[in-house]
Amino acid sequence: MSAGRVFVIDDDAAVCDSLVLLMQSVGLQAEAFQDARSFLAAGRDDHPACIVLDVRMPGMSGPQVAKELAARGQTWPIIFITGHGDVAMAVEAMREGAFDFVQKPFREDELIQRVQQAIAQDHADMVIASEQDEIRECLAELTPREREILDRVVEGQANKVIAIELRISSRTVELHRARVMEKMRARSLAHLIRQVLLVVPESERNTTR
Amino acid sequence: MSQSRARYAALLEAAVDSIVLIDRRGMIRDVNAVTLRLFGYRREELVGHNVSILMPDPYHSEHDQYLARYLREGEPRVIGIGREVVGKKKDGQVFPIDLAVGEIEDHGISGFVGFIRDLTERKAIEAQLQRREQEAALHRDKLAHAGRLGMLAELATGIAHEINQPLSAISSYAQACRRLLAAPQGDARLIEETLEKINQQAERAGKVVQGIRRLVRQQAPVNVSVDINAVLREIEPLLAINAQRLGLQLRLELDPDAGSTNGDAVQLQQVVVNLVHNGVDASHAAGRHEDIVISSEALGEDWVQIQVLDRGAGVPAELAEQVYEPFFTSKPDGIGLGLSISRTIVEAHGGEMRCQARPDGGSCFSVLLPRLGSAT
Repeated sequence: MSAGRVFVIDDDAAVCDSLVLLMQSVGLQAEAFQDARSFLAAGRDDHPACIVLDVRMPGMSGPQVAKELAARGQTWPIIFITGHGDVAMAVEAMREGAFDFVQKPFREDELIQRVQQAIAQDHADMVIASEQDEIRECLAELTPREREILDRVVEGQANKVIAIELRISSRTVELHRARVMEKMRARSLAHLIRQVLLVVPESERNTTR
Repeated sequence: MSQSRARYAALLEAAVDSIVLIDRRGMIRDVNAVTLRLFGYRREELVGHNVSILMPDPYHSEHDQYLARYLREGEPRVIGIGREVVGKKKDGQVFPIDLAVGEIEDHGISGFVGFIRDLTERKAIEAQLQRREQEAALHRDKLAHAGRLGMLAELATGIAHEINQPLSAISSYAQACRRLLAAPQGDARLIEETLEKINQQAERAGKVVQGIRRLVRQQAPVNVSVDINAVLREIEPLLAINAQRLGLQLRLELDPDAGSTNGDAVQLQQVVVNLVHNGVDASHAAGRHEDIVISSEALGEDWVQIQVLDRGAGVPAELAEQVYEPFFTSKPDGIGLGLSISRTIVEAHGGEMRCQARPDGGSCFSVLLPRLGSAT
């Protein structure tokens, strides 16, 4: 991945600087922040990224930063750097959804590997997120009747069953179904089902009535 | 019975002390009720018997000789003076008594009167007090030890962090260098810069180690002349590390004439470490990140004062004494030994500790120590 980014947040200037250089030495773009506030104030662009975050900092602690990011709906994978004896903080960080931990002093190769995995994860998340956006847009195009038929198809109902239950002809069901496939840009029934599963949480899916 | 005889009997019975009248041969002529209770005899078991029945050996067997010697030479052993001796009860129990003996020459009795006070209880209380004092001393030693350990552990955590930071940076810089060297278009200047940074971080770690070495180096013998300003200057860098972690700076305000005191530099440093730790924690908890001031000042010729000023929540007046009690703490993870040990140390140096509220918030802890004359 070419445009991977790393945000290093650590109150220690030397630790920050050395980590940035380390990341740059393996071709990653890295940016240092010596306090969490300035990082939170900075905006995000569309590049896949991850955060390397010191758990113990004056002002906002690592887990607090993670919590704040989550509250803002920002979902970069976070790799926490913990010192010795930061067990309580590490547990808290875990609760805030840490991607991983490295304990100081850490092995650089390991950190780099974790960072690359985290960026790959973020990239995958971004791909899925954009796909979800597209699917939602398509779903919004459906008429209520089309949506109802889509839900029944995803549930696994055969055309005949749908026709009987909705008291319409099989031919009408087929027409609706073809329109749904077209609007959803679905290449196959399997593709259609995958799309719905990607965006509609299980609890919202229609169950057979 | 004559009136005076009745008065005498009433007096005898009203007395709080045991009273024993003996003649010149040492035979008991009369005793009061207290005596009977105290020694456990019936009246007829005492009256007419040698008073030595009330004494354990060796007094029991030697009493006749004492008496004879006194009558012969007139040299008193117990007469006219109270003294602590031991008595013996009927059941054989020996117990401490205070004995005062007077000579009487009256009403047909020529002999001595003994006033005996039971000291059993007083002795028990004294022993108890002594035991408590010993326990307290032991407790103080233990506290001082525990406090040193606690403070060491606290310091060690800070030190571990402080050494870990440069080590971690060095390691990352070194790994980056290795990769930069492996790159086809190796940037020589960047590599050189990075090597210089590695050097700086190594020096940073070295300074931390030096600080620790100064702190734990061989303990000075108690009672040497200790330069107050030197003590403060020596401890400051290490304390600054801890303060900076919480975003606080330390400021030394030293009086060039602060002078010296007699004592143990390491112990006095322990007091300052403790006060500054408290000040840093308090200011940080209160969110007032102004400088923590550590000052020295000569107060006339005879005293030197060290002060630590913070901007914490302060000590409420009603707690001003309580803060020195062992296990008193306002910190969620404090053990409450710091100030109690500090005061013990300061008082052992002939000084005293005070705590005052500052007008604009925070506390001022003062350590007053005897100042050595400029001649020394």
